[in-house]
Amino acid sequence: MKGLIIKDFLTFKSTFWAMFVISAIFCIIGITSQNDFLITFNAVYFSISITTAMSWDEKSNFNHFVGVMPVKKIDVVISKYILGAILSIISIAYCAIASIFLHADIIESITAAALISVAYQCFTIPIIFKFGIEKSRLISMVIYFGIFAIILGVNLLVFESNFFIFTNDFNVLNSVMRILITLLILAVIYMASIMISFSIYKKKDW
Amino acid sequence: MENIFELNNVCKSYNDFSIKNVNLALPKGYIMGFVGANGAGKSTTINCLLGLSKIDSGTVKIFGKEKLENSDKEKIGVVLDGCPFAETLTLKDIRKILSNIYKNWDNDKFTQLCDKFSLPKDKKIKEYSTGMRAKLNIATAMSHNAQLLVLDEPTSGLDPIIRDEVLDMLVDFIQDENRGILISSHITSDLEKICDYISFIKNGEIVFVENKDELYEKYAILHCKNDELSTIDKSAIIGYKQNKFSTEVLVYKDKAGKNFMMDKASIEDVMLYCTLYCTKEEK
Repeated sequence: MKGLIIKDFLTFKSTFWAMFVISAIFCIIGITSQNDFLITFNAVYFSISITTAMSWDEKSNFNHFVGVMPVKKIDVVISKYILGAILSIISIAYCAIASIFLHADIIESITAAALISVAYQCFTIPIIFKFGIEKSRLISMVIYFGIFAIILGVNLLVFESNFFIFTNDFNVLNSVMRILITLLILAVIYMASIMISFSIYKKKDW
Repeated sequence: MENIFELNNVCKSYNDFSIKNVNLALPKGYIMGFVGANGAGKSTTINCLLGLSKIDSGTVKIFGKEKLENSDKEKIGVVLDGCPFAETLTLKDIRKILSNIYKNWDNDKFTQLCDKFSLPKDKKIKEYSTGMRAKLNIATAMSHNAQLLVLDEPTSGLDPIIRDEVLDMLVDFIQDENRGILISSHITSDLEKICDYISFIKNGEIVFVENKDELYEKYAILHCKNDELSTIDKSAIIGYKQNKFSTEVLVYKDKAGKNFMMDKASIEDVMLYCTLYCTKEEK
C-alpha cells in the first residue's frame, strides 16, 4: 500500500505546488474581503484532487496493471482514502490559518472544512470505482445537486426556518463536543464509504 | 515435467468475443511463443492467465496454485500493452514506487537495465518514445527476481539491435530451470530464435501447441502448378495461396507425398496459411 500512496503523490507532485499557490491566493482574497466562503472552498478544491489522482490511474491503465502486482484490492481502495485524508488535513490546515486572520470561529471552520472535504471524497470515490472517471463526473454532479435540493427542501418546507438549521444547533455546543461529534461523523462516513468502495471494486476485473 | 502454469478448458466470454476451451501449459525451464492474428484472443488469454479477468469456466494454475497470494505475484514479471505509469513520472519516481511495492525489488538490476537501454533518468514518461517505453516495461518486469515472465508484445517498437539484446536477456533468464517465459509477439522471427514451444490461437480457440522443432518437421510449404493442386491429398492440405502461375500449399509433411518440392514452413507461414489462406474446411 505504501507504494500506491507514494505513486499518487509522485504522480501529481508537479501540480501540488500550483494547488498550494492557488489555495493560498483564495485564502488571501477571502481574508482581505472577509469572505469565509472562499476559505471553505479550499476544502472542496483539495478534495477534487483525489479525482485527479484516480484519473491518472485510469488514463495510464495502471488500474489494470496493478492486478499483476503483489497488491490486494483492499490496499488499492484504502490507499485512495488515505490520500484523501491527507488532502483533507491540508485543507483543514488552510481553513484553520485563514480563520485566525478572519477572527472567525476556528472550530466551526475546521469542522466545516473536514466535513465538506470528507463528504465529497466519500461520495465521489465509490462512484469512480463503479463508473470510472468520465461517467462519475456527471453522476456526482447529479447526486450533489440532488442532495443539496433535498436538504434545502426539507429545511424550507418542514422547518420553515434557516437554511442550515442543524448547524445552529451544532454551533451552540462546546468546542470539545463539536470536535468529538465531527470525528464520529467522519469515522462513520469513512467506514461506510470504504465498505461500499471495496464491495464494488472486488467484483470488478482488474 | 512440472508446469509453471496451466490453463485447462478456460472459457471467457465478452459481448462480441470469447475464448473457448483454451488448454495451455508451459513446463518449467522453457519459453513458449504465443501467436495469433489481431483480435484472435492472445491478450484475453493472457489476462485470464494472470487473473486480470475472471474466467467463466475452467481452471488456471500458476506455480501449481489456483489462487495466487501476494508472495506468488512477486515472482511474476509482466509486460502488457502500453506503459502502465502516469506520464508525469520519471525513472527515479518509478524506482521509488516499485521498490515499495515489490519486496524482491532489485534496484541495482533495474539501474543496470536502464543504463543498458540508455533510458533517460530525469525525463518524464510523456517525453519517452514508444521504444523507450517498451524498454522501461521490460526493465521493470525483469527487476524483481521473477520466476515467470509473461510478455505481451514486449519487443514491439524496438529496433533490431535492442530486440536482439532483449532476446539474449530472455535466453539468459531461462537458464534457471525453475523459470518460464510466455511471450506473445507478431515478430515471429524473434520467436523462432528463442522459443521452445509455439502456441497458435485463432478466433478464440487454440489451434495447436507444438514443440518448435516438431512444428518444423510437421509442416511444409509445397510448391506446385495450379492444375496440380487437385492431385494433392486433401487431408494433407491446411491452406493454399494461388497466383497466376503457381500455388503454394501449407501441408502436413507426412501426408503430402514426395512428388513435389517442399520448403520448411516458418511460424509466420503457418499463421498466414492457417488464417488467411486456409481451406474452406478449416475456415
